[in-house]
Amino acid sequence: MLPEAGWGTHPELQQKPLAEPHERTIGDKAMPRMTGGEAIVDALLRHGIDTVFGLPGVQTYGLFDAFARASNSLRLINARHEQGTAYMALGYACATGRPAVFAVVPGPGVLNTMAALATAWGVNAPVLCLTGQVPGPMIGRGRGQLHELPDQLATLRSVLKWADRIEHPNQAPLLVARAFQEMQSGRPGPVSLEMPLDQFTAVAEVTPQDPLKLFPAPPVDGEKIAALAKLLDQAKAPMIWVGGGAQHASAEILALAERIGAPVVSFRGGRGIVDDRHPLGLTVASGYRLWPETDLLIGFGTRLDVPLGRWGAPPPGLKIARIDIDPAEMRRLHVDPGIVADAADAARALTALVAPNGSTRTASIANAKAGAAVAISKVQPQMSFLAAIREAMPEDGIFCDEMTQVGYASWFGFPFHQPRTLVTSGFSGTLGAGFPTALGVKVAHPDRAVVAVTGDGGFLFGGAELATAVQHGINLVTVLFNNSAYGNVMRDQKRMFDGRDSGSKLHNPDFSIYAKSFGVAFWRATDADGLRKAVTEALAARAPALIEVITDIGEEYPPWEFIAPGRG
Amino acid sequence: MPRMTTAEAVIESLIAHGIDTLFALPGVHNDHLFDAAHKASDRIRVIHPRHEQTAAYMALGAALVTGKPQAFAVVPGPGILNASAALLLASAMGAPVIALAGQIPSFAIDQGHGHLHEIHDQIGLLRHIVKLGERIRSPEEASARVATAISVALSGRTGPVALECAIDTWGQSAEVTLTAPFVQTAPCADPATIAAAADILANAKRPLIVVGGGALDAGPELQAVAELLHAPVSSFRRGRGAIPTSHPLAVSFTEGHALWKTADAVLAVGTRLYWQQSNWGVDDALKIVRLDIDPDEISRYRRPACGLLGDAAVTLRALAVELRGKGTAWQPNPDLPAVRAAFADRLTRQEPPMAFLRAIRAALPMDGIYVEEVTQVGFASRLALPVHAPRTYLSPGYQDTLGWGYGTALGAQAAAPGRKVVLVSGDGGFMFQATELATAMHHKLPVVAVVFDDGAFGNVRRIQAQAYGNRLIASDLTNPDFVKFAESFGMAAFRATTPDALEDALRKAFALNAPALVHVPVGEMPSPWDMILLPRVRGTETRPPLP
Repeated sequence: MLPEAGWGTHPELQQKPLAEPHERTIGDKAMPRMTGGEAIVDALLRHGIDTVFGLPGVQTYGLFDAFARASNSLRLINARHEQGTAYMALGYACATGRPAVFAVVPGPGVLNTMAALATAWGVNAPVLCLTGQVPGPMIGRGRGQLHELPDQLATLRSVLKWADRIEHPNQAPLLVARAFQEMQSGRPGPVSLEMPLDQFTAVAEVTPQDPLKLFPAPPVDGEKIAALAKLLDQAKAPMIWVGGGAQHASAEILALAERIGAPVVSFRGGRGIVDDRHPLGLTVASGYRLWPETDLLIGFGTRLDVPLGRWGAPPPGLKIARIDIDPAEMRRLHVDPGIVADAADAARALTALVAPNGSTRTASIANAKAGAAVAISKVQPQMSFLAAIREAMPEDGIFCDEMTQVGYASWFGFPFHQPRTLVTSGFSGTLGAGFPTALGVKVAHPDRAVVAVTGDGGFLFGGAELATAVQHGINLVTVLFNNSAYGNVMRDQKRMFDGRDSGSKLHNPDFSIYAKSFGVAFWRATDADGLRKAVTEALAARAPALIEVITDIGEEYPPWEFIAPGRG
Repeated sequence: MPRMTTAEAVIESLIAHGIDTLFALPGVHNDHLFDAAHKASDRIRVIHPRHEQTAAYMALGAALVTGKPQAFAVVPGPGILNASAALLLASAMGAPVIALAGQIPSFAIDQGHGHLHEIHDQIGLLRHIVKLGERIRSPEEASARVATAISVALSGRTGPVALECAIDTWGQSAEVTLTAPFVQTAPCADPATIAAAADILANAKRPLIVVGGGALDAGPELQAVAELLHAPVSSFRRGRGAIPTSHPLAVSFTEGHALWKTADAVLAVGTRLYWQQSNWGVDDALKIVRLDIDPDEISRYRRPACGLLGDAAVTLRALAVELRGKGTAWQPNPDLPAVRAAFADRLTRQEPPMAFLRAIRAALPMDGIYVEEVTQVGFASRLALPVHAPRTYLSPGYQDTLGWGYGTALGAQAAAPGRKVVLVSGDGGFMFQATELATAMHHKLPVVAVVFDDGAFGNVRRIQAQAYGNRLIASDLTNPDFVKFAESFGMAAFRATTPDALEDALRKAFALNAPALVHVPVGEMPSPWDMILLPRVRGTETRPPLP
């Protein structure tokens, strides 16, 4: 957001607003003349983008005018803070697996989105950040241009997979296509393009560019997969771990698991790949019960952080194998065999090689699931609340977490039935991401039930975006668990420091008045039954909704023994 | 040598540097730091807001009001990234803000394993924005790192610095030597250059002084030089208050433009002199003397006739001595009365913003602190709000960071507990930190926020309407009922639709000595840009020569 338009008097630096609308040139075969902004928007449309999240300002006026000219094929959803635009794009990408785009001003605008971009990097989300720059001739001079960020491109590259600058309108088609290629190829991730202010409105002949082919996934190494198949044939109790890198490989993973009768365990990123109701679909809580007998661990698209980092000493003689599309993962955790490949390709190849071994472990896996279900039921009241939300949500409903007690418990305590129905900030653990990210999820899936859980601490990071929900009719149901504290912090502090707490008690608004001030429907629930009723009513209302549940951190059973049992 | 943890050594060092407040959001990476602050709570208080951006903006506001270093602490990764826009602003404004960021376990930094809150090269990223970024790696070095960082923040062109510390390092303990604060010097410019500057200024018939944020602590010296030369002193955003607006030689930015046309010498103190050199024009008949503490700044745009590298106050004092030695009796600028009259006439077109500003000024005590958001009434105040003292007018300067205001005002209030603080905000900017009303209530910070609500990013909307064929996009806003919104936090709230009602509401709000919000529904405001984006008045060069 920028108020002023003074950037020198040199003719080249004068922004030339377009008084007369251009003919729409989208899809023309001939070399059209168009502005830099139009060239970018044309390229976005060619990549199937129909929604952009954005906050306008002086440096991006030319880009936003191109959005306005394309408004019959592209909708623009604004927010009340740049973080909101980026989190919504993140939610859109996580819930669909498809690229999502947001646009903000440079400098403070793009810095306001950095936490969301870092989160996108953490959860491998294909998010494209479009931003501006100071006028081209001023880049790097340090003259104190409006929203100038020294070496913005390098700053962005620190947290992104790829970033570049579009110096001229005729570079836009190819660089946008490159951005889509980079964010989707291999391990997906966030990317950014910046353009100097003057180039958004500069006019040039532009060569349209069709989407580029993604970089091919590495072929599944035949020798290594055969070696892994052999290990599997020899193993008595293999365990499959899945992470976010296997979200697209649900059918292939399940086929493999059923062929060898192995449990499929997931923590956050891999939830829903195998339905929790399936006899082989396990959580971190039920999987841990099988850990002592496990003799082969195979990871698909996962860092294996939980079994190897949080489950204590591995069982004696454990063999470990992993499949990951990202070669860097193989040096971070070197195992043999470590196979650089797409999860679906590798699972398919492995299934074809291994001997069927259907039924020998059925009972022990079922026991683990049943035992875990009993054990985790002591995580109260969180488990009751989660059950209430699950019962109120249809099969394909999407659950969005936050750094809050019910969110933590959901990682093992909420049954997921389909891929991409848990949207999480993953290892980034980004406080405040939950609610605005869930808004983007609902934008992507307006006809599915979307429920966000949040705490009072996390909610107020982006709580002003209730205005965005109302403005754009984003009918998200948000369940706010209010303990008037950064509760987890306070519990840690009191445990570690002789009962002392510092900076963790919070003064909250009266959330019923708060919601009403935005015209948002509000419910207050005091128990699981009330919550079930409220979520059911809120989903039926088809309007933005806030449900408050008052909780007490002191009365909550900590979830950590199921998340990191090996750490005591 | 006392035995203490890294966290305790950092807290002790902050206290030794006069820091009595830590604006901070807790988190697992910084538990030891918070506990160290808790143990020292008789000497340092923790103020925790609801978003890391506000921790940083509060430190910025406190630094702007006091001119002294102020510290904030946040978790790594998303936490420090949430504070990065405020750090960029602190950098642009030269504010000595000390950022303390956690880090993931020391053995895992930059390994890419995906630790909670991990980002790649956190300190490298921060170094793009701050003057100094370092990692504290042990309790033994902690105090020296803090002293060095604060010294860098305060030396030369002041600015923000950042220290990060790994989660496992905070709690390590050792026998620690505390490093005393380094002595800061205020260098005087080279005497021969001062003499040359005095010659230029002494021989000028129509000298003009332009001041920026670098002149805020040189008020008396500046006034002395201005009075000797009868030179008008023009300020815009950051320089406002360097001398009181009531002084006969104090002129606005716009009046400065009229005087620039006929000036034959300019003394620029602690300013980029950006608008003047870039937009208003220069020629050989205009001798420019620049005084700045930053060696990069003096010739960044073009080589001046004379460049004084030094502290503003010390150097101006020497310059005054040099000028007095000449024994000249300088004459008042004959253009000044006409220039003032013309500006007063132009201001009559700035209604209702001027009426609102008169109401605010009438209710705000002389030493009250005024914080402007990026909004229409804020723009008008840059030109015409009377300012009585330095560091009572807080403007985001060239970054013009939308959404900076409320947290900055809270920090200013925390640093100036006995004084009145008013924020002037639009509905767009206010919502960036609106949930911090909770912080005002929790920590009893009686800021009065005035929200001028036109239901839009108004400036954006106007430009879309005027320059882009009325193709409005993403600029209309759906707002909460702001009075109800404030009341949901238990805050006193008023609605005022006229300037008189605003003054009345402000007086009532100030009398409460408690946080308050005043909602002012407004229509479209007149554009102030004809008084800010001013035309070239001299010179023919289309692009100034580079040095």
